[in-house]
Amino acid sequence: MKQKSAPYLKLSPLEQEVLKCLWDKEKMYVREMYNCLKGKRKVALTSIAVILDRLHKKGLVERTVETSRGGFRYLYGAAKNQVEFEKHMVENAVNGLITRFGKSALSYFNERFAK
Amino acid sequence: MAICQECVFGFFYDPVKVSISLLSLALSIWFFLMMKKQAEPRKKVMLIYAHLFTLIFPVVYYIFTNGCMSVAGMGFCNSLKPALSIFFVTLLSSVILGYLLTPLMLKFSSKTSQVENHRLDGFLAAEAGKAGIEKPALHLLDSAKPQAFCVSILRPRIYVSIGMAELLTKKEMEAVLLHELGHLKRQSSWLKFSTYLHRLASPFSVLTDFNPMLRAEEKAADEFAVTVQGTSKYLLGAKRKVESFQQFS
Repeated sequence: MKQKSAPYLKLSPLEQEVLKCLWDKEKMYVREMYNCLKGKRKVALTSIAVILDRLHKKGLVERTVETSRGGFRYLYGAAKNQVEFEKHMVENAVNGLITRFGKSALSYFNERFAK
Repeated sequence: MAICQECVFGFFYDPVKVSISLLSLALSIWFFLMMKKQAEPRKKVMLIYAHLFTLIFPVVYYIFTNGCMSVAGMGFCNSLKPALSIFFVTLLSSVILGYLLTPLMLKFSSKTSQVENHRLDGFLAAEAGKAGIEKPALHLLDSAKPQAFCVSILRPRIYVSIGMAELLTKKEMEAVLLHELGHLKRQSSWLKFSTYLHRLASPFSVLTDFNPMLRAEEKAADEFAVTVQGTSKYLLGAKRKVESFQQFS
C-alpha cells in the first residue's frame, strides 16, 4: 500500500526559501516576500503568491486579511518557528520509517544510537 | 397491463391538438433560429426562453390530455396528473431557486465579506453612475487565487478575491472592476445561465456553439473597461498576472 508522506517532506526549494524568509522576518506581505527573494533568484510575484498559498494549505503558514484604503492583502507568518519545524520534519521522517519498516527500522535505530 | 390504444393515438387523431402542437414546435424552431442570429444579449435570453417554452409545451400538452391515459385507463391517470404537476413545478422551482440561491449562498458564506467605505467601492459607485446602472456591492473573497466575477440577481454584486487585489496595481484592479461592470451592464450572467439551461433542456443545443457568444460577452466587457480607461495596458497587465498565477499553480 502506498504510504502517505508528510507534507513537510515535500517542500520544493522555493517553498523552503519562502519559509526561511518568514522565519527571519516573522510577518510578511506577498510583495515583501517578493523583494526578499528576487535578489537571490529569478522569481515572479505571482509565483510567490502561489507558493505562500500552497504553504498555507499545508498548514505551514498562517495568514490574516489586512484592509487599508490602498487595497486588501494577506499578512503571512510561519505557523511554526524553525526549531519546531525541523523537529516536526524529523518526527515525521522517523514515524514514516517506523510505519513502513517496523522492526527493521527500530533495530537500525538501536544500532545507530548504540554507536 | 393493458395499453389503451385509443389513448395513445387519440391525441394524434384530433386535428386541433395536433395543429396546436405542430405550431408550437414550428415556433420553437423559429425562436431557435432567431436566437442564433440575435446579437443583443437581452433579446437572445428572451428568445432562449421562448424556444424552451414552445419546445416543452407539446410534451406537457400531450401528457395532460391523452398521454397519461395511454398506460392504463382513467384511474392511473388521476394519480399521474398530480404527480406530473408536482414534477414540473419542482423542476421549475429548483432551476429558479438554484439561480437565486447561488448569490445568497455567496452572500452568507464565511469566505466573503462586503467592502464598504473603501476607495474601490467609491470608484465603483462613480463608474456605475456614469454607465447608468445600479451601483453594485463590492464583496471580498477570502482566496489567494486571483479571481473576479459578478452576480446580477436580486442586487448586482461584484466579487473580487484577496489574491486578485494583492497581485494587481491600483489601475489594474480598476480595469478588472470595470470589466465586471461591463458584464453587469450587459447582464451577461443572465445570458450565461440561460445558455446553461438551453444546453440542459433543448436537444437543439447540439446545433449551437454558445462559446463564441460567451467569448463575445467577455470581449464586450473588455471593451467597456478599455474605453473607460482609454488604454488596454492595465487590463492586459491584469490578465497576464492571472494567467501567470494559473500556470504556476
